[in-house]
Amino acid sequence: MLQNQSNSGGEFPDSDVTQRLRPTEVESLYHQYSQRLTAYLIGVLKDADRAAEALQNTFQRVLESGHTAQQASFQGWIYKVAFHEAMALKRKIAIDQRAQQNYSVLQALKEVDGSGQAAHESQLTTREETEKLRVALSQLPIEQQVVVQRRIYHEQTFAVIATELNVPLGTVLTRMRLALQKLEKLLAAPQ
Amino acid sequence: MTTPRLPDLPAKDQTSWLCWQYVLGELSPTETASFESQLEHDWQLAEQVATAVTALANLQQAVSPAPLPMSATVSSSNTVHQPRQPVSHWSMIAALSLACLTVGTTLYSTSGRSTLESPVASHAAVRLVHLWRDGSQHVRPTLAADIEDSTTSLDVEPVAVPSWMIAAVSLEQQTSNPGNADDEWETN
Repeated sequence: MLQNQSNSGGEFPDSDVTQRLRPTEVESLYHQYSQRLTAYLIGVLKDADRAAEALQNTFQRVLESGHTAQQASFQGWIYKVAFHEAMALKRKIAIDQRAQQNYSVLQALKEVDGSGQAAHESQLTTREETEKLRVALSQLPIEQQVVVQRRIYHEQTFAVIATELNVPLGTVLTRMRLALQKLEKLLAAPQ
Repeated sequence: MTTPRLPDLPAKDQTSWLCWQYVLGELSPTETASFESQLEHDWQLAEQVATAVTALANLQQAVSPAPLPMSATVSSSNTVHQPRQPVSHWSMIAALSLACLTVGTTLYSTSGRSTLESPVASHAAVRLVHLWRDGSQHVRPTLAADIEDSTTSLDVEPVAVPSWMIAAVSLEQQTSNPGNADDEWETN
């Protein structure tokens, strides 16, 4: 039986463990979790199409056995299912000999977001957050801006950035980490 | 692959940094496998990965498509100079031509009055300054490569108006030596 404990993850359908979740309940869960799971799966798979496939498979599992999960731990359950689906796809990719491709989260995000207007119509970004970040970026020390731009826009590795800037790798890492720390704080801050 | 490490970080920051490195593909295969084994059982870590990806998506939108920036700490001997954009050259040539034209027009129209008192000349000078500013904006990312001081902000760098431009509105100077503008430009 599903427990009716409060769940920080949000609403959970009030269903019976012996009955599968209704499609409407799965749809509700999809709206609740799909955005975060998409981001997570892109992080794991570094490929937008594979992430979409893994997300679809994850909700197939929710439809099949979501009713067996306890409400209190549903968030953990669905992340675990998503992880397993992602790993299954990774293995499949390796078998297909396509692992040689250089998968990159940045590339995957470009595929998801496109550019310009389309970027803000996607679920992963919002115009407000992007604008906040743009302002925050401009306020970072110039050396941190340089590293962020090189790593994220030009997709250079930290090692390459260190070589090109003629600074130790640790310096590059520290600059990036400090920049991300500031930007994360800003994003987490209430509007 | 070089495995970046920052061992002195507090545990919380270390985890966050590890997430970023994982997302950016900066971990070695062994570390990736180790991180993924944690991911399987730790949904909060999975949440952090999702947060990092979301932030990255926003960052990607926020980072402007500027030319590859150089660090301010790079010594001038190691500086990789970006090729200057042709548009900036044309802007400068246009500025020079306009300066010469302005000098000629001013000399002709003021006939003895101080150029600084002439509204026509003042207007031309203002246009020149604007033109120069527009032109310098095009080359600003390139100039950034030459900055020695790491703390220098590009945004607060004042617009440098060359002395030939000031000379262009100085009647006395131009009258005594009309070729000064070009000479000054060469020395800049």
